[in-house]
Amino acid sequence: MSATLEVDAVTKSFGRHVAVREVSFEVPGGSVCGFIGPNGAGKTTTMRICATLELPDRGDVRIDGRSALLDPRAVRGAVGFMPDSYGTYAATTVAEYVDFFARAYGLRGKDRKRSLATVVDFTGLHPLLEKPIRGLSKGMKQRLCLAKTLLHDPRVLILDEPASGLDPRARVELRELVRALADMGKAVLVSSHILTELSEICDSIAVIEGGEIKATGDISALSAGASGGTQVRARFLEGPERAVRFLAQRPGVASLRDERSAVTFVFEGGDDALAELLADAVREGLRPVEFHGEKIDLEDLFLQLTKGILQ
Amino acid sequence: MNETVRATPVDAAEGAGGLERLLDRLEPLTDRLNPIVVKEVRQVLRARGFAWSYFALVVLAAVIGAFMVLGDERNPSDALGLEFLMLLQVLLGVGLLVVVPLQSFQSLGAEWEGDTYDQLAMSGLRPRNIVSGKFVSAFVQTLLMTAAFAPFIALAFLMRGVDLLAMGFVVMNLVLFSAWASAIALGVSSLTTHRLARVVLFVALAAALTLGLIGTIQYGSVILTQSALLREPIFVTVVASAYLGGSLVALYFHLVACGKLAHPEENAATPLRLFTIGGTVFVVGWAVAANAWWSLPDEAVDVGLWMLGIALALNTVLWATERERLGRRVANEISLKHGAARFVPAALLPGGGRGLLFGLVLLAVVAGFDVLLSSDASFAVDSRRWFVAWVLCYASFFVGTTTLFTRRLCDTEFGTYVARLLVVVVVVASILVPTVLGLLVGDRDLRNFRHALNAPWVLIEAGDGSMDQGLAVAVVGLGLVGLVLNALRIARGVGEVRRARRGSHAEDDPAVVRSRERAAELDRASESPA
Repeated sequence: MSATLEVDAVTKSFGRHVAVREVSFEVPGGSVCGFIGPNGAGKTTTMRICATLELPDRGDVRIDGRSALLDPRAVRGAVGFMPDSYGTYAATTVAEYVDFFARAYGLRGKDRKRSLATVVDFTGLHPLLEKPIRGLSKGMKQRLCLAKTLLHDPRVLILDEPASGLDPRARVELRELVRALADMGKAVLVSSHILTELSEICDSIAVIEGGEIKATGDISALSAGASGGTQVRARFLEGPERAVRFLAQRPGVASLRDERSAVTFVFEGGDDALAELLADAVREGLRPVEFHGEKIDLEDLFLQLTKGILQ
Repeated sequence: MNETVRATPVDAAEGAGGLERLLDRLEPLTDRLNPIVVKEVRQVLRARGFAWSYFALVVLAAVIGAFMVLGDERNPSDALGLEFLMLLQVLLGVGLLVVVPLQSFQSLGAEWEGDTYDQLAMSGLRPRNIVSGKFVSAFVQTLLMTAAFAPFIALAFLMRGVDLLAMGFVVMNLVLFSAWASAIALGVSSLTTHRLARVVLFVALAAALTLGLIGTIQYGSVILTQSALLREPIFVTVVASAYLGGSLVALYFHLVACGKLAHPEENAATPLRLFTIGGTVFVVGWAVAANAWWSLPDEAVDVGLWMLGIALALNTVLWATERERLGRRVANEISLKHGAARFVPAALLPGGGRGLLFGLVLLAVVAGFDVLLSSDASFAVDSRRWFVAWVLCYASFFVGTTTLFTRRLCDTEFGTYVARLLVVVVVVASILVPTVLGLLVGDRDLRNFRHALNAPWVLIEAGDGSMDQGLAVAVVGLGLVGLVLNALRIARGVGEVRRARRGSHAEDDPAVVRSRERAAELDRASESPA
């Protein structure tokens, strides 16, 4: 059975500061949900609440229907949490570290050995087992922390900024690991500042700003809903003023902006309508030297949904 | 995680030689071991600080021993063994009473500073596993150091002039005090995660441990030079009583650490209160039994009860500065139909008003025992048997009134510390303000700090048996003021528990209602035969 993470109207304050307010979203099993928002938006607080490390003032988190408020130990056993800043015991070796956590998770005898072998194999830590942790690279430490997080075979994974500080190769490898985990039926909630990374692995996103959820759902549906079309950049020999006058009267053109030599706008229509618009412009005597349209990506979507509010 | 399994060094022992096969067979036994112990011992033994201290002390002991043995040939002395043992107890004392406890303090802090604590909290380890693991690891270090000194201690015995019983007693003291100091260090370390505050605590702890070391060495020297004391029944009873008291204090700090490491809003208050009740009953029971059968002097019983009363009054400051409301998790726990927590009396549950009630009730019980068991024959106001009753009155007034007005501060950790500090400030101000007033109006008693608001002076008077009637009436009046002012607060605290038991606290949160419905659905599904 696939696990589900439900965040239900969670509110948390620290003193007078409201960190998150009525945050709700859901991550079904077998999917990856990207949790995005500016710094201080409330991502880490929400993730810590999901991991039972913080108790919300109101609202609740459920995993497979089990409440973090009413049954925190059961929820803790079903969650693997990888915080954004995590430490390792530098004086120990990789093998000692994972063995310690396997014991800490209550794994005994053959179960522990099986779990260790599986996790070490999955994260590719085999060649490093006897190495001291203090000698590992950032990417290897990230793998080690992921291995530790997977030891008790959690049904829900919460990864806070797992790609930060990693080199490109390590990022690609991490991305593949996350996708593989989702394919095993786990629900994965992952936050990152690198939105292009997320767009390649996420099935859905939750956008948070100022402690409130701005949007949540499937990326393509949100893109369509947020912009309704294509981001276009055009440059005409006749200059932007005349182009703006022409485009402002055309249906389907929104968010029109004069950017000195060029104009940008969002076109709410299909490719045929966009081609027709270009033809009309030529008929009107506008001579295009650049006409470039592209679908809204996660970065544009994020910028559209958020206003840069700092808490 | 149903991946292909590849062999790892962890199970490589299966194909290995005899010793490794034996270790592999023993491995199931290690499953029973607290993993924190193994991790901590491993880390400590690989850390430079411990290794250097360990070897420096051992080398120093060896050098001193060699010099004394060589010097013995030139200046033969019957007390040479005694002198060497006294030096050894200083060296071993530094290791056991300073290095090991400070190492324990740091080991807990390292989890926060190294960002590893959350990972431990998310694992199956409970706070008591973490604290116990670190304590046992400290004890292992203590035993390692003691073992390293064993040959030198044996050499000291062979050098003559040492009573075997006294020698064993001194070494046992060092080991026992080291265990207490480690437990206390862990408790102190758990108090805050703030770096600057931790530095202050570390320095204060180091100073306290150094003072403790000096006291222990002096105590050890007395025992070594007057070993006949160990055969005196009164000495043995008094020492046993003091050691039981010390062990209770160490256990108390252990529980403090467990409580401070508990998950947010988990009920950390009730175990500590239950322990306090148990500890109080034990101390009173021990005092009665030791007085009746093991020649514990009456005065020792009096002083024991007074110290217990003062300790409870100080603890009342901690209990009365807890966050006033029940945590969400605790409130939900006690409203569950079958939860054992449902039957816990309100005063044992967390909350400032309930904490004040608990502290005052417990003090009243001890005050009752003080009245009943006192060696003082008189029941007059100036009798020493009322000592704890006066402590109760002051606790009600100073703790009750101050925390009543600062209770909103206690919603945050920082505010809680401020509220606790304010109790101390109010006690000090209550001594000084009337004195200043006395200077202005020319009142001799006030000017000389002789007034009812000067709690330390009044308690000294009470201990001396020189309490006068006017003073007694004033102190009882202060106690009643504290009680009356807090009556509504206490009633609210008890009322909140009653509402929580009815489950009415959570009805306004639809998310919790939905969680309860889902939990009921899951329970029904798990009970159905399909």
